[in-house]
Amino acid sequence: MGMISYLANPARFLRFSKIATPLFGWSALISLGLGLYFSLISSPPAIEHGQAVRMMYVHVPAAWCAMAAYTGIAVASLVSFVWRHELADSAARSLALPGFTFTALALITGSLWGRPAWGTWWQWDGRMTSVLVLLFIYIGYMAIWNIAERKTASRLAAIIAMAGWVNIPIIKFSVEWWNTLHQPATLSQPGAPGLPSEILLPLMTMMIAYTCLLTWLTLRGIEAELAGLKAARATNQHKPASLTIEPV
Amino acid sequence: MNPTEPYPYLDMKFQDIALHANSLSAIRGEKTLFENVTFDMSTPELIWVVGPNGIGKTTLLRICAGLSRPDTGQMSWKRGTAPVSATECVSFQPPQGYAKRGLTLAEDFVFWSQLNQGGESLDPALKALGLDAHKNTLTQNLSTGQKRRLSLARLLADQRPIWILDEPMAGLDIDGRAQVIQIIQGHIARGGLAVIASHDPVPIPNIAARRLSLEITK
Amino acid sequence: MSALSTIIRRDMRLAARSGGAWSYGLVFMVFFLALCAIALGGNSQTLKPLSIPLIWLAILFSSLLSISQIFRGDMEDGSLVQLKLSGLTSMTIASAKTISFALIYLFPLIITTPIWGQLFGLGGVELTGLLMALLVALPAIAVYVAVSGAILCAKQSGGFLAIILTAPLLIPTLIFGVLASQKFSELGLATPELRILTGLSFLSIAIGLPASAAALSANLEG
Repeated sequence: MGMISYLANPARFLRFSKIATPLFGWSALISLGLGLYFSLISSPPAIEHGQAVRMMYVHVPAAWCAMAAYTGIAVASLVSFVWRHELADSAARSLALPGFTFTALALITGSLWGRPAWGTWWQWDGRMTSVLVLLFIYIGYMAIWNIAERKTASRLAAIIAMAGWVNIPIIKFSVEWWNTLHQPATLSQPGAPGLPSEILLPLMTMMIAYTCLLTWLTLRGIEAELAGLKAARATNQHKPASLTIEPV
Repeated sequence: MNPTEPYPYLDMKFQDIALHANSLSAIRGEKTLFENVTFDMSTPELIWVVGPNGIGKTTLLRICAGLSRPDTGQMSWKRGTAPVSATECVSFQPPQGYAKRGLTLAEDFVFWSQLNQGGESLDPALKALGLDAHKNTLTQNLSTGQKRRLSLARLLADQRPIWILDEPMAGLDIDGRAQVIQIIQGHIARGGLAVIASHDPVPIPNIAARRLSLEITK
Repeated sequence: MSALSTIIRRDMRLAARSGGAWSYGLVFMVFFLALCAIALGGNSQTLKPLSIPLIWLAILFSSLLSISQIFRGDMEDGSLVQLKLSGLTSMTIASAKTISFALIYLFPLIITTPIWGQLFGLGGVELTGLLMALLVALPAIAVYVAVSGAILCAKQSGGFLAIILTAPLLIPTLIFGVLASQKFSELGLATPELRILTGLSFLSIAIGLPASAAALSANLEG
């Protein structure tokens, strides 16, 4: 919380992001390079899944980032809603597009994984369905930003983000309940406990890489938005009305 | 029209009421509409808010009525020395009024009176504005002038000491304007305050008035 | 409480004079169900197992169709501003308008389902289950549609957005509503899905009403 209130000032945030943004950018690049090497070249194919296991290294971190980004949006929305803070709005808004992209990536890679694992591109199982719903929530959230003037839109977006956040566990619970009724067949899921270290290493590296990438994209988003606001204010020719009060 | 007794509550004085605007500013999008708007109203008086369209008159009025929050600065309302909330002391009227389609004049009037716990009796307000005869007319069938008089009747019935009115005289004929002016005069004489946006303020005899002009800064 | 009932009574009176606007959702539902039956071949053996999900979908879409009726009229003519100035909280306003919406637009959809159920050959127990589940889910549907209504009340058009915003919130209700309707004939009131649906309805009120109220305030302040 102390960190958040310290960074709440845009000027201080920019000083912070001047260092942090490249740091996360380069970390993302390096860990992504390492991660790809570990996962595509140095790690062995899994006994059960064969080469398809490599899909897991791009899939699991994407799903993690999809969730992490949404959590970030919900937290930033709460801050924005309670303290009416512009920077929190920018943070929430900047997380949306990367979050949406990671969600879509998780769905696509999940479906590519599903093809060899289950013999079908799409399975209405608990996980895939709830990630699909998360994608819907992202779309709704991003659409809200365009319906009103920024100040109003940010409040409306924050409300829908928080309502969505509370609903995610309920949706997951519902979909899983529904799923066990309709599809009793157990599906092989990646990410079972007790992973051998030759799988864990590439997975962890990719997790770090994705997280750095998400952070970098978000910081860039906030910077761009602050710069946009600043430029709009600088080029704005409009001057406040001048005021006179006189008896009549 | 029946302008014989347009203000029926003259002998019911308002308790001391005050309105304080302290360095208000309003930002819409990238535009700062106005900043450092400061004024106090602590004795019965009227402030005309004048200025070109789009300069922020309505925004200022909405802030005075407690409907919008200023981006900086504070708005406060006081009864005696005790701060009160706008919802206890302010009536706000948009230019077009707010009569509900589908209700009769009396139904609409009674609906708001019930919510506002308005005056003891509703009839003086309707009578004062010569609306008794139209009680059972659907509001969409009222003429512009009649709708405006319905709005004024509501102002009277609500018994709030601060009136914030947006263009109350637009589209009215001479008689209609005279009636509005009489009612405002009565309200101030009774100890009330009024903030009124208008394109053409008219002198109102016997009341204190100021003019707040918002002008385009060159 | 009295403010709540004053607003609800006014809305009822307005609905009665609206030239039948309250029935549009109902008409849509009938058309939707008839088209579904025709598209599926009109064979009662195919239709019967699909009837419960189809009726649920019809009700959800019909309720979304009436979304602009909840707050937009009162937003446009300035009534919401005046309600706020009369000292009512956004929570009271949102609650009153949501209850009006449920009574005027949703209730007719739900109580007429036994009639439309006949089109699909649903029997007595199945209809009871369906009606039961729908009545239990009524608050959840009303509240979540009202959230979108409150968010979009200052916007002229927003039907498309309304679906995107409301659908994710209503998915749990849809899942448990359909399951409860289907399983009621075996287990009756003990159907676990029916109990969960009841819980979801309470939860939706706890989440949705404050969300509607906050959205209303945000739109009124803007």
